[in-house]
Amino acid sequence: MKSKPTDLLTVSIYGMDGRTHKTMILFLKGPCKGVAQIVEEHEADVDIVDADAMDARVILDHCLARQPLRPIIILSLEKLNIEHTIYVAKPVKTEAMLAAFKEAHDWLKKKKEKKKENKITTILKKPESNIQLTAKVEQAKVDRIKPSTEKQASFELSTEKKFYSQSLEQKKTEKHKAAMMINEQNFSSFIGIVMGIDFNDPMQWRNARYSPKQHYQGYVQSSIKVAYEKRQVIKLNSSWKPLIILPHSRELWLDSDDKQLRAFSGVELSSSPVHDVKEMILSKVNPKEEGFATKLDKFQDMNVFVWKLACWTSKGRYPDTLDISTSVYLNQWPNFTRLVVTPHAMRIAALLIVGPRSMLDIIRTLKVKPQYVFVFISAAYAIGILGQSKRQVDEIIETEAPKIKSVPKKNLFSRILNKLRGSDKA
Amino acid sequence: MSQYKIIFTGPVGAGKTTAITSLSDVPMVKTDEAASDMTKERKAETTVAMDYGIMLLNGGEKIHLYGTPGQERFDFMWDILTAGGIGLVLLLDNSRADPFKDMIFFLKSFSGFIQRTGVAIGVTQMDVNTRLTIDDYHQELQKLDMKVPVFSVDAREKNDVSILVQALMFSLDPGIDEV
Repeated sequence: MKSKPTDLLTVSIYGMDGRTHKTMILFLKGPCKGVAQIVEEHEADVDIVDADAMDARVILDHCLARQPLRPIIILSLEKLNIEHTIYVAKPVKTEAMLAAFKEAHDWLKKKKEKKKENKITTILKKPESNIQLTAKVEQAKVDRIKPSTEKQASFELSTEKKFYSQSLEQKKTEKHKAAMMINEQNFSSFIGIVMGIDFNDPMQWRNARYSPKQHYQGYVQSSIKVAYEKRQVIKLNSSWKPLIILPHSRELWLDSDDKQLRAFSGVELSSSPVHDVKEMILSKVNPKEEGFATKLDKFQDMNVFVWKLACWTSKGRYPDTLDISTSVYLNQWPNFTRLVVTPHAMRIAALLIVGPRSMLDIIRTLKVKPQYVFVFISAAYAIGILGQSKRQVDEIIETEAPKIKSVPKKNLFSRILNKLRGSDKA
Repeated sequence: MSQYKIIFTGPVGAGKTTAITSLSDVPMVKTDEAASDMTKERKAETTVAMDYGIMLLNGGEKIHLYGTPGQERFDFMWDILTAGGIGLVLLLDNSRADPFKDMIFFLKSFSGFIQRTGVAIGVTQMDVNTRLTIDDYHQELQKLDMKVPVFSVDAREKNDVSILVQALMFSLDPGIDEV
């Protein structure tokens, strides 16, 4: 067996999964230039503990209880000040780690010198037989604290191990359904067509408006508002199917499919002889009595539902409460992985995140059909993440609306997009 | 030919490996295997613990997909990884004890790289733990004055990971042409 160099520290690590363990080995060999080497627990001079591991407390107690105590280096996200330990902040930097090793080294050196002094004193005092006995006792102590390899393995596993059970939430399949990407080719068939507006004529764009209030969308949005204000589960009864609104979990429950919803959302209720708006009644719901909780697949995320409802009601028009030439702002990116993604929706979102712009400006800047801008604006407005600029500061920003910078990697990004959208069959 | 990287980071178990596997055109290289060929010494000492995949573009260009190793413990490898990177995908696990703490940690750790490029955040395990919503993440990000894409993601779903990376591309340049 090779003897270790005098300055080489032997360390034992705790609370790290297999991958991190390997990275640590590389870290010590590379950036730390081999000043320390990972060994089995019973061979180590120093302990390194990940304080953010699930079992950190137990591990640390185990290390602190060791006799004789050895230096403990703690890696932690939060600053820790624990007696007999050396703290290193995460992410671990080479310099900080080397400093900790130096501190541990000095600590061990001092301890060794102290031990030496004590030994000399003892030799002077004790007869020879007692010296042998002391050595045996020390060895017994070491054996007692030597943990089994299995125990260490359990520390490592605890950070990786996860138990998944299919909870009720996971059975709400509709709620967690993936996004639906709509391209230019299937926009009309999926979203619908508005008669009487020629979108090719910019003069007609101002007329491409609709009133959410006169559609099912308006009633759903008002009912959601009421449910939130009253913090109460409520039911919207209509000539169609009852819609249950659960504000606490931000969910809706509707026993219908998207086809039916799309058809009903397009009907202008105030002028419909079939659907009487007087039949739109809100009532309180006792979830236990309704029994809707048994049909888990009928639960939908509130924003996802309202987004698609607005898309189908809009049919490529914009809400009449917004002005086409005044800037609109976007508070946040829509959760696109769970929404109906209409053509150019992500580009429009990216543009509006940079700063407020009018709908006309978006059409001009991105050179896209107005229907795609209007449908996005309608949906984002319906879920409350978009609004019309009213503040003076927004107007200032509007006049300074940034032009899209030409990014050097534009061509590369386009090719990545093509690849992701499946049009690049490389 | 230039070689570009997209970096996937996040805490252990957030789905980095799965996300890279979803997008990669070649079987994902676990550098454990690659490194073991390089030397006959102890395997544990030679493996490079990170995930790696490739997206092949038209014209033979490659986009390298790297997963950061060893979660939050080291940063020396992050610098090496991010060199030549075009953007960061941060995956967070909604079922962890404090996902906001994770988010802030990774955003701060990669702040320089994010400023030079961009970031898109995917939140996994939303169906396992519903305690925090996507809106909650946006509110937390507002405190950092950041308006970045944050999406619910199932890393096993190629579509989810694809949309996340698409959003990253658009946030880098909204003017990119869609085909």
